[in-house]
Amino acid sequence: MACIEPNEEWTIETVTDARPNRPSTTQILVFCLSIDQGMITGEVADGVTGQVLSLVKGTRESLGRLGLDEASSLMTLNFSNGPARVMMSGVTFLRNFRGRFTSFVDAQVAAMGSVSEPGTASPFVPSDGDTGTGTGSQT
Amino acid sequence: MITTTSAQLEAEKPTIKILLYTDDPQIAPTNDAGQFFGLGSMIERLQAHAPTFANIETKWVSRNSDAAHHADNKLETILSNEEFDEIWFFGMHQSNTDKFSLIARRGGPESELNPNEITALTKWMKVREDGCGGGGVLMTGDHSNETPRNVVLGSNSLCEDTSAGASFLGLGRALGRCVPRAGSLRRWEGPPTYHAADSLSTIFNGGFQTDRNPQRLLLRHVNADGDPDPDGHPHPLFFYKDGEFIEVFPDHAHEGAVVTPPETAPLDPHMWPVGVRPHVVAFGRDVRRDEPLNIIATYNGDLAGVGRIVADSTWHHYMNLNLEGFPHPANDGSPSDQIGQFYANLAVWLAPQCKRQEMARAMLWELARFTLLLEEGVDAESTGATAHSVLKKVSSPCEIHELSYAYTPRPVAELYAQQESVSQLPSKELLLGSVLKAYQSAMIGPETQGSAAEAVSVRSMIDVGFERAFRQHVDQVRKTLDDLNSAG
Repeated sequence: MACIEPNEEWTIETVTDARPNRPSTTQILVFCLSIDQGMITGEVADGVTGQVLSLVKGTRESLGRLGLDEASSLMTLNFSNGPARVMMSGVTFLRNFRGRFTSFVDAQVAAMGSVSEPGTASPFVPSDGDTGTGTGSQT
Repeated sequence: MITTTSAQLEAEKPTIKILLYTDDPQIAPTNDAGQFFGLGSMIERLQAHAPTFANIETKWVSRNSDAAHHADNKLETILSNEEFDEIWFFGMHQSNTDKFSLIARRGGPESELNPNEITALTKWMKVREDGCGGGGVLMTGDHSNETPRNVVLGSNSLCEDTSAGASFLGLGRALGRCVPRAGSLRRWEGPPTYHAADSLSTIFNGGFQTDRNPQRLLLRHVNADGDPDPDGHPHPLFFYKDGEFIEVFPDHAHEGAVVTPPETAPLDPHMWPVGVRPHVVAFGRDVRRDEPLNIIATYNGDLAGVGRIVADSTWHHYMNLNLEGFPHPANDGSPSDQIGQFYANLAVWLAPQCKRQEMARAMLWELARFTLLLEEGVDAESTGATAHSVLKKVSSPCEIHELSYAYTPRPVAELYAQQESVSQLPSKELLLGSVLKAYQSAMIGPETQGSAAEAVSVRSMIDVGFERAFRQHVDQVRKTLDDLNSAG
């Protein structure tokens, strides 16, 4: 899944917050995003294995209207990573991104244990309630 | 007063000091999460593959310390305050601009090297009368972006600015373009850009630059001096294990362009002294194009009394982002291990000749002591063979090759560079063994004879060793001829 212009390629490293008996874990995600009037569509893949994880929907809104630098914006990205739905939001400034994410797994799926669809397996599968940081840049 | 002979031959391993020079604090020597444009991962790998006979010391300096300080670290000052053997350039900025910023239009009024810096670099890259100096340069950059709207054309008397009207300027151009010789080995104006139509992509198999799949290199064969030679071997930069070569590299979707003077065109003698040419030694592949891409070019300044140069198509080959898919440390033979070995080979190959000779002295001293204990009474060729087998265990093929090249007298090296004559010459084992025997004789003689130590030099021991090796070889050839004559 090479990302070709006019789509934007963003590479973001996620680091989960450590929890008791669950150490911090990192993952490289590569987003290929089409941004049209603030609406984001695209897909996300594991940057190391190259496996596509899911489609992406989101928004990007300039923070200029709040009196902040025109080059900064608020970006939200909603996607799936294995059984988890991930909501990530943060600030972009020029080509850099810094944000936070939360993962949700449906109770029914969580009860079945770690389940992932064929072809979407990832070395790191977030659990329900996982939170963490996402840091990266447009690459 | 003359110290003991051993003390005169003793040599400690030197330190290769590398300046990692950038103009953007973003290209930091760290590997923190999300710090994709950092160099931390490369530095770790370089140290993990450090040569046996030298320490590696890197120092990272940004021309602009931070957003509040523009050009507060100029090369002229850096080079006058501290000695470096190599400079690895990782420039980001494209040109001088009217106002300093590390934000939207990165650059400032002093982004480009000024005449004093070019003069300082020229001097630093030249071999001094004492045979030292001749600093090595790694020149990188990346694809071209749109020319900054607030560009200020350079007015440098030592480096003409030919970019007027150019709509795209290369990333890294501001630092790179005026570096003597090295600056001319990359295209800084016009394509390739990041646009699909005129980009150069080495992304392997439609994946990502972060994935586990590296690009595959096509290695050009060269002779001992680094000139193209179909009967030679891949360039020493790509030596991996014995008889194996580094054939993978990190990949990237928008590489820059490495260029060399046309092979048949006359060279500008002011830029390229003594007619020594730079050559492309490694190519990559863009699946959309028929022609291979230039990835690495080398210039063997040893032959011209100046420092060596390596030009690379992009600094992405050194960045955390592009190394993500290659966990380190890694098994022998893995892409990660090969890439790490390349960084170490680069440090060794770019080291000034004088530094490589220091390394060679450390190597010969260690080998002479080691084989003295093990090999008493055996002939020189056996001693050399033992030494070679020890070297193969403790050192990389590139280091062995470069140190052998460093201590071999030039006329002898020229003989060996002529491939067809190698079989008529003494074996490399005999040469090394004879040098080690000369060392050992000098070490033992005064002690066993109870006489005072004489003044000796490493150079004289090496010359004696080579002379004995050739004499022994002549004797052997003569004896063989006599035997054949008498048999006939």
